[in-house]
Amino acid sequence: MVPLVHIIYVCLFAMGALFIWTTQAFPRPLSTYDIGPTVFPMWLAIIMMTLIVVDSLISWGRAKKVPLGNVGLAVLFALGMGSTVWASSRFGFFYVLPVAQYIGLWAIGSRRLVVNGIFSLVMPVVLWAIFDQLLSIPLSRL
Amino acid sequence: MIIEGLLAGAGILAQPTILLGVLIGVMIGMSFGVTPGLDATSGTALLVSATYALPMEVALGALLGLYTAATYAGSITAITIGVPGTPASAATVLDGFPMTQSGKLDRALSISITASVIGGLVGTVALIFLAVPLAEFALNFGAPEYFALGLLGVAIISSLVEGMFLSGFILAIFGLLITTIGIDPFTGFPRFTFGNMNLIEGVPYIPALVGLFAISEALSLIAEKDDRNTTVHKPKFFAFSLGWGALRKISRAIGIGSVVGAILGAIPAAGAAAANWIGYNEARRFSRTPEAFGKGSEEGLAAAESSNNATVSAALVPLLSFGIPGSATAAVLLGAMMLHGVTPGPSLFVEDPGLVYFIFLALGLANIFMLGFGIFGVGFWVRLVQLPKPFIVMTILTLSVVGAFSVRSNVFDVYVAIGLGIFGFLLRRAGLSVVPIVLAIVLGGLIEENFRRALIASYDGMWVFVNRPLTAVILAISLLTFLAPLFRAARVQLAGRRASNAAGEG
Repeated sequence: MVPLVHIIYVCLFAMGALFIWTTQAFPRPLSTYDIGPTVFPMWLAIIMMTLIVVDSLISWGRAKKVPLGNVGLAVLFALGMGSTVWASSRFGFFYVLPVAQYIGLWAIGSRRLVVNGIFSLVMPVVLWAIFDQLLSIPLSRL
Repeated sequence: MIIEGLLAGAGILAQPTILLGVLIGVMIGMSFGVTPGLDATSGTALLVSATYALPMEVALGALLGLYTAATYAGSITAITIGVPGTPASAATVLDGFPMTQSGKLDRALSISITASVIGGLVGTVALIFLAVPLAEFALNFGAPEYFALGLLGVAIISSLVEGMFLSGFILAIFGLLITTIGIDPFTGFPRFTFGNMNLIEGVPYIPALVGLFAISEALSLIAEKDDRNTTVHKPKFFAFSLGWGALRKISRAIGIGSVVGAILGAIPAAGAAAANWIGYNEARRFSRTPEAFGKGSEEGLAAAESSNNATVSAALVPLLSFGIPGSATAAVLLGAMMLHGVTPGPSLFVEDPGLVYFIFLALGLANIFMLGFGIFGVGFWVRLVQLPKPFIVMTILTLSVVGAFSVRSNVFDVYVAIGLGIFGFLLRRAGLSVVPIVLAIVLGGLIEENFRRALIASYDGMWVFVNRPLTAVILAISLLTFLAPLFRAARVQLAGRRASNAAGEG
């Protein structure tokens, strides 16, 4: 069990620091009345980092503790989604999707293999009919 | 002027394709509201991309139909299995499910649909009579006022989230930071793109919404155990059983709920979930039989349902009048409208009043269609409650991938959606809300652009935000809103210290 919010805050703090560091290379404003491209994001990052420190102090002990097991499973699943999208861009969306759906259904816990198979075949057909044919949004390029 | 606008709006609405769009939107909304894990916001985010290829009016009609129906349909789950299908139906469980358990399922569903439709229509009337004068007033706004309003919108939403005291503000600022990625609107300089051409236009808005709402919700469903009640009480396909006498008895509760919902809906961040509870409590206060509430009271059910659906239309008041979304779903609708080249706000009332009144009428029509489905087809929607979780999850994820890709036909957008989906999921597990991020992404551009525009246009520097009375008042309210969680934190700490002192003395 970990206080996940503190981990999130650390990541956001690091992001804020990266943004501040990046703004050092931004140009100055073009007129005396404009603040330029640097000030707004830089101050947002500073305020965010300050609030993270303040909230961590005043909310100490209130952070919800989360078991990492289920979190890890869902994150792995999302990364699998990313892999599926990459594979789709290489081999074609309508070839990869049925396989990915079948594996995904089994991974989430559906053990009805025939129903899984029917769903995995029907869904791409429905998507093709609606998006490719009816709405003219070509998915094969995905 | 209202009559002329309504006639112009009716002229747009009365086309077969648009009527069909509203009808299909209502059907999809009923399915989304009933299905665990989906609600009006995630449903709208998923459907936006599919409507991209459609004419703007058809797309808007479908999305408004979805929004209206999904807010109601959560009550079907609340009544049949005692679990709210959406947060807006939490209070519905208190009296709806006991009615089911005592054999009055058909009556409960009849009251629910009737009260929802009446509430929705009251909210639509409130929208018409509030939005028009507010928009006229807002025509006097300049860059300082819009900056202040954007900041207020973000501040209100951020102050209401649960979790750590300042988490809402931290996440809102994260959302504002995201909006600074891309070409700077005043200098043309690319900010935080790190050489990636896909980020030149900034973080893509619709994929971000799809990730934060839909993908994160699907991942949450994967991480949670499926402990749904497997016993679903099923009504007949034609289940309407509410006579005029019974309707008269609950009319006061419907009236109270509708008014509460219409008022709360027009206030940014209040939302259907709050209206559901407040409308319920107010109806109990004015009821002749308050002791019956919570045990199967028809008045309790009617008030809860009329209030949450009244917020649907009323939530569009700040969106249409000021261009500031008052709820997460309104934020998604704002994105949809901008996708179709429509910028909501006071100028829309001047440039295209017919479209504004079309929106009013489409909301009203959606309620009528919803009444038909609620009376004649509720037995079908109830069966969706039992869909196995894996199929729900795979459907959401597949539609999310397709939806994220559809807007720009760019695979990078899908990766953005997945990345933000993972982040949104982690936030949910940590007990935090994604809504401040969404509002900030929607309003970030407006806030920075108007801030800088106000400085450039005036020679007073930062004093421009103080010298204009309305701007100063709105900024003062924003500051108080920001300080509210700090006061709450101090109060909690003080109470804790007193309790430990008392325990020590004991």
